[in-house]
Amino acid sequence: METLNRKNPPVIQQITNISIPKLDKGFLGNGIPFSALSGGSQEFVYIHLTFNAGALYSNQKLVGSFTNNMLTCGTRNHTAQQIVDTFDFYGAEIQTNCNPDHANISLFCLNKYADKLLPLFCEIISESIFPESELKIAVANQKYKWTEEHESTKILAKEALLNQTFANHPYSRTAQLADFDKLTVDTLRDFHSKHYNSNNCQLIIVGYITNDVMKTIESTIGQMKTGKKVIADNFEIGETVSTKPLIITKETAVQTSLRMGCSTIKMQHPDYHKLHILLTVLGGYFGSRLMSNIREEKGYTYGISSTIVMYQQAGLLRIASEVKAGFAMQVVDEIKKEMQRLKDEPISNEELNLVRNYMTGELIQQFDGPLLSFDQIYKTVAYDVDMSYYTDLQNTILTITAKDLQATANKYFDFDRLATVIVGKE
Amino acid sequence: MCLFDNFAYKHICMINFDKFELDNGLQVIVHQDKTTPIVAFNVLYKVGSRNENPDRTGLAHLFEHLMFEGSINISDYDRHIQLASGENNAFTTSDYTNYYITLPKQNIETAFWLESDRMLELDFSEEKLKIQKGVVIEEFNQRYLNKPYADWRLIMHRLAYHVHPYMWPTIGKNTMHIEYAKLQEIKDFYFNFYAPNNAILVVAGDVETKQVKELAEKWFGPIPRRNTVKNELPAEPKQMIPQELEIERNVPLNAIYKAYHMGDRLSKNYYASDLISDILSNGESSRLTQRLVKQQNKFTNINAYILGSNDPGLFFVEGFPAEGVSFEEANKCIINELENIWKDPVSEDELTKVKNKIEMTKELSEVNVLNKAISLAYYEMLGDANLVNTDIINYQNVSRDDIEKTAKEMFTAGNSSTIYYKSAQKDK
Repeated sequence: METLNRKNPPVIQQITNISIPKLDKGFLGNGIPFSALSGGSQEFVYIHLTFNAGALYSNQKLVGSFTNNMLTCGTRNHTAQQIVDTFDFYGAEIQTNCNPDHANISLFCLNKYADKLLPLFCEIISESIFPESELKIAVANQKYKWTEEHESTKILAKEALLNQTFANHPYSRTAQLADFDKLTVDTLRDFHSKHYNSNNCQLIIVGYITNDVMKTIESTIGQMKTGKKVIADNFEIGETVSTKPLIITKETAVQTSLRMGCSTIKMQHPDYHKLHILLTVLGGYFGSRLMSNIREEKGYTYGISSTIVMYQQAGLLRIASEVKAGFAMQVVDEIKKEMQRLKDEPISNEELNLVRNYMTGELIQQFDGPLLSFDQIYKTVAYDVDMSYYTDLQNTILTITAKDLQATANKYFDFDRLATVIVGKE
Repeated sequence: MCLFDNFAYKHICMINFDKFELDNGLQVIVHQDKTTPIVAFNVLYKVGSRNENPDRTGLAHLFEHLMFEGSINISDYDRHIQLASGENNAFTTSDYTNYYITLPKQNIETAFWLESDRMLELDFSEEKLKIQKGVVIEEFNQRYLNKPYADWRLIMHRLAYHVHPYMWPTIGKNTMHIEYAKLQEIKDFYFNFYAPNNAILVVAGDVETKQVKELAEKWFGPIPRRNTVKNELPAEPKQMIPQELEIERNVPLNAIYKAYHMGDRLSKNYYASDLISDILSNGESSRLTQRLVKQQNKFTNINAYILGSNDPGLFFVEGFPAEGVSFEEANKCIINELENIWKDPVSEDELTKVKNKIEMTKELSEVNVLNKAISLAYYEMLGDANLVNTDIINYQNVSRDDIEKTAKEMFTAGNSSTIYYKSAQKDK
């Protein structure tokens, strides 16, 4: 028998033809634009509405998120308990989620229960009454949660970085305990009636989409009341407040939360893919420069990452890590060194090839089935790009050169704008 | 309010698979799914933290890290995965250690090559051990020590178990055990437990059994069978006396944690206990949330869940008492609701609800090949891969009587362990 040569790797195929799914797009009867992707063998659907109703749309803190969270807290016809009983009974899931730009609500259910649940789903979106008693409970519980969360160095670091990078923009607004007590049901009802209508939202449907399901969606969501589209004011993103490290001391912390960042380009920008690839080289995968240096060579952290956090009005270039106490400044130096190296030296063909293959695989996996594709579809809906974003990304991954990456680093890695936040010891 | 349907699992698709064993004892399972370009490649080793020496805990997990640091013929495991457009990761539990790769089906042989080499032998070194100790200690810090409240699990395991190795969590008793682990101990651990005859390989995706068989024979076939010695695990005696502990930490709010001993993963008791935990706290409509948070305002947040483990496990309740609610009162409220499982018996609708949730969870767990591969390996470890299809019937068969009987047996004072997690900030 021929002996096996284990030192020789099997031949690897570079994948060059990823099939980015095509969405079914259209409008419901009342004008709600929808994007749908059907597939999978499990008979369930995920139905997701995105409203222009995030934190950005109110001058008062917390109004966006409380309105969104409290959609399940009662309508004229159903109490909060009846609502949650019904969704739970059918094994379905209602999720609400509010970010600075958008308020989201989704229903996840087996197809066979869609006709039983969609009418109630629409009712809570259109006819929520925000009972006083429910607001009281929600405020008390959220205040507790806030207090608990603000013990964590991660939350403190996240907020501090936003303050350093998005100063004066509503994105940097953070709620304090007193803000919870200022909430009233009237404010929420006002905000709700202005923002939760069929002209101010977009619909995404993924899963096993049958004609029956579409008919039910049309006769429920397609009948939701109309209203006015709300457009957010365009706020200016200011300059980075300071590039001097902001240190928040927390003596009890065993680890230090380190964040670095600056405002950067948005998804629509022609350089976005290049910057995304560059940040993958720096700290976007296990074999990245930062992971190799700080975790695998030095053992200072369990993980470190670099990425672009997306917002409608800006992007945030961010590097994040939980670092061994006492080593934060050393890690800051190493991060800067790695960034400088990307500005000074083109990356090798070998590394570029590795990143290409890795990112291609990532893209294939992100579109493996309708449910996993949802996150990618959401990005297009929420940040005003279309699915060609992903074919462009794929092309850029395959064609980007070392020179392009170096130029991108020189353009967007600007130490004069890079804020540093350190929360913990040192 | 609604006309509720009966629980129906007619929609549930079967997961078909083939199974064979290599001469060296490696069990191989193949599941074909032609709908995806991705192949999942999963290797489960039947070793976890319960197999550790009580004086050297955390070794199984530390070892998991070393599996990525190079094998006898291949120095850079991760790089080859990335080159093959794949992703990989691993996790360690008290009962087993699981490694997985997902990659485009064209590159499936890379997975065979990499996984078989690290089953054959690792390239151990002092330097690599030293660095991974650092990483694992930072993981310990990040997950358990730098996170408010997170150390309760370390404490609870110590409180609830007295002889069984579940008395320490997978991460280990403390960071010292990790710091002082010696290279020889690591090597012994490997040669004792990382053997083809102690592992299960699952390949799921657009593959043919014949192709998998050939590749498995080629890459895994030559690995010699090893003499794996498993320590006899001491059975935890029935707990008769309530265990209580008050601890003070620099956290903003009080918390209370309770644990009750329950059955092992394949016992009838397990399925009833799982459903009880769902009745108590799965979803907004559940009993603990509705009664203790929304109606009585005694807690701001409360949860119940179970630890499904090969040996008898634990049923947990964790809650944050509301302002002005003492530990004593909070504890009483919880006990009251646990006893209500039989005093205010579960209705047929309530039982149907939690069974519907289980069905949904099962459907969800089968959306991608990776989840299916992990499930198949897990059930094969329990004794029968086909449980992936039939386990739901065990839930189906739980009756209201079973629920009451299980709760009555489990929720006794003698069987309970309680941690009063006191906020040092509250005294100020």
